[in-house]
Amino acid sequence: MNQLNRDQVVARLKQLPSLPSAVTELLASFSKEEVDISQIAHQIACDQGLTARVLRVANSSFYGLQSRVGTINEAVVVLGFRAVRSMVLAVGMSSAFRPEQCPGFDEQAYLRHCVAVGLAARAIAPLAGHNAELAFTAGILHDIGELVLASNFSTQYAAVLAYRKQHDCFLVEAERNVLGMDHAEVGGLLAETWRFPDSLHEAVADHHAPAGAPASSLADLIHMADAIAHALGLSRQPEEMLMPLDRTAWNRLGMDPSKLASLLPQIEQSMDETCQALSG
Amino acid sequence: MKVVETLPLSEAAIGMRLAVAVLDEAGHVLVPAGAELSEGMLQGLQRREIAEVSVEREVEEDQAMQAAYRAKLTAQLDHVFRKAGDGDETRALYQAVLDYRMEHRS
Repeated sequence: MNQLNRDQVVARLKQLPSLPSAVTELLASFSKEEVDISQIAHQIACDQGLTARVLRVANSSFYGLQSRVGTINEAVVVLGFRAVRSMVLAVGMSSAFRPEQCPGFDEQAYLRHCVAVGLAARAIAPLAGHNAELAFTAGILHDIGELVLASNFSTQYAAVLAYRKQHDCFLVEAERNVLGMDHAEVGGLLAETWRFPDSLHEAVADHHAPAGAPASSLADLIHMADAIAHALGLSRQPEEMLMPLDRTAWNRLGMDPSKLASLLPQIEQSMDETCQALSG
Repeated sequence: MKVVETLPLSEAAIGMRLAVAVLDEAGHVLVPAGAELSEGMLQGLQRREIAEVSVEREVEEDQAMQAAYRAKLTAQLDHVFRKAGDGDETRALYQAVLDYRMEHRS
């Protein structure tokens, strides 16, 4: 009775309220050669809630600015368009869902895990030749399929969370057993519906099976960042559990113990403040 | 070994290293984590009526305490890694986190 199918999920995704226009514009900007930055900055600025949260992130120690930025235009000048785009996407999309009606879904733990993955992805990106800001956004959004399920199929997802607790299994196993689908697949469907760029789509849909994604995608990086975040126990969930690390992802990222050791301190330093900036 | 201590601002001294960023009520950073406290910073924090700060401190530790801490950490990591298998990459991550936690304990 809890089983979902692809068509049912897609139909529900199409009924979602539309994203803020600034977020839609920014998503479209990935495939445009020329982008009118001032027009997009204006669109962001028209959305007061979005602006306030983006400026809070911009002024956090995450970016280490010497002086504060007070407007979106200043943020674009000081941090660059890519960084602001990443922040708006991370803030704008996550807030499109309301998972609080799903019993057992721990929103704080979800946020903490996503921030940890974002920070880990940002730290790994330069080692793997990826853009750090895009990697951060991919980390924040990698489990967005969970938000889709918890807010749109809350009864069924509550059954998933109960199953997971009872069987002490991986979340994807519980999802597949109860729903017949997992959050990565559902996240992939959302990415198609909202027309994510390929890099974000692959990060969301393939982070639990990165070997099947192209080597150039962000799936390897998010898979690794996800494992690091779990290994550090940053979600603070008692049932936190690490999946086996994928050897293909490890090798394609050129990971080794000394690189791992250099990454870990970068993640926890900004953790609390970034969570605070992205919440509420 | 480094430990993190939370002190009333009145007991914070020049040269101490901040373990956690000091924020104002709006969440803006007043002094970032890792900064070495200067006289000017301390005065600024007093003016803003910041009550306490978290600083890092280097302390000597006996071997029994270190072994107990390692055992506690290992139990925590074993729990998180309980279904992660014993692949080389997974074990490398386990070891990296254990080493990191031993070096940066709070």
